Amino acid sequence: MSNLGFLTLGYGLIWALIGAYVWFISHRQAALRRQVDQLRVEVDEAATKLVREQ
Amino acid sequence: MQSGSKRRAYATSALVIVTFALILFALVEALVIAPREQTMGDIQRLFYFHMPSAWIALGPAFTVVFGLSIAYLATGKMVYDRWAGASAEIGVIFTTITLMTGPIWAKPIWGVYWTWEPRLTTTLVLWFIYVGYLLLRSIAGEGPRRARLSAVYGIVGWIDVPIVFLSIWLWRTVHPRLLTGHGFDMDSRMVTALMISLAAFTLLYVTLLVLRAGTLDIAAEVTALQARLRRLDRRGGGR
Repeated sequence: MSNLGFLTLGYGLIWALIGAYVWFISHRQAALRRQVDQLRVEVDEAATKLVREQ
Repeated sequence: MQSGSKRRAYATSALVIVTFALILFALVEALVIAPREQTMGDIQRLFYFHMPSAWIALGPAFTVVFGLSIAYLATGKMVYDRWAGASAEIGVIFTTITLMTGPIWAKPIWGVYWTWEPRLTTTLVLWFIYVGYLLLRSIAGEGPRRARLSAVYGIVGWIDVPIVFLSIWLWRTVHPRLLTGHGFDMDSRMVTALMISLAAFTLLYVTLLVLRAGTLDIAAEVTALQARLRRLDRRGGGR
């Protein structure tokens, strides 16, 4: 491999790894936000149901 | 959205934009403006991101884990544990970059990808120590027990950080020494490119830490909401 080939490989690996990590964080954060919204609805429903039963 | 979290979202967005701009500037400096090194040629340009990666791992990332581990043991506040976990994860990413770019530079310069010399060996040991830290966090479940174990590990594991840093002075090594008694042994335009890359990667570390710790804060909120829902279900079902 040429000198430029090694340079391209190095830069490619650096930004691929950082890009993959940023994607992982944003993907995980979006999934967790959806879960929080869903859980808040479920908690509100459960609390309302409990108040009605009392 | 509440005004506090709205402000936080704006601040995070601004941080991401500034980081992205500084990284672009650092890339232009490293690939276009910095002169071609006479002996090594273009492969030397890898150094502008190899060295900052090592700096992030050895400097902020694992040292923050060390500091936050002490803070957790002193106060018992879970937020310190979460931020320590996030910092360790980012430190492992940057150590991985250091360990990948080093051999890519070494092959055309030394003729081999890897040699068991002190700087490389202690860095590989460091990588294993913090991968072990992340494995411990993933298998120890959640809560104060995991936080306590992680904090002790985070303090003891940090011992390798000064060893990696000092390895090129403590032992005979083929690893290049950047700093001499007269400062940087490089062209001033190369020093400028290196300083900008260092600033860009330091800001990238801060941005990733804020984003990752934010994710862990939301995960903690999920756990709290799940516990609340279980309590409500038990009260409703116990009637």
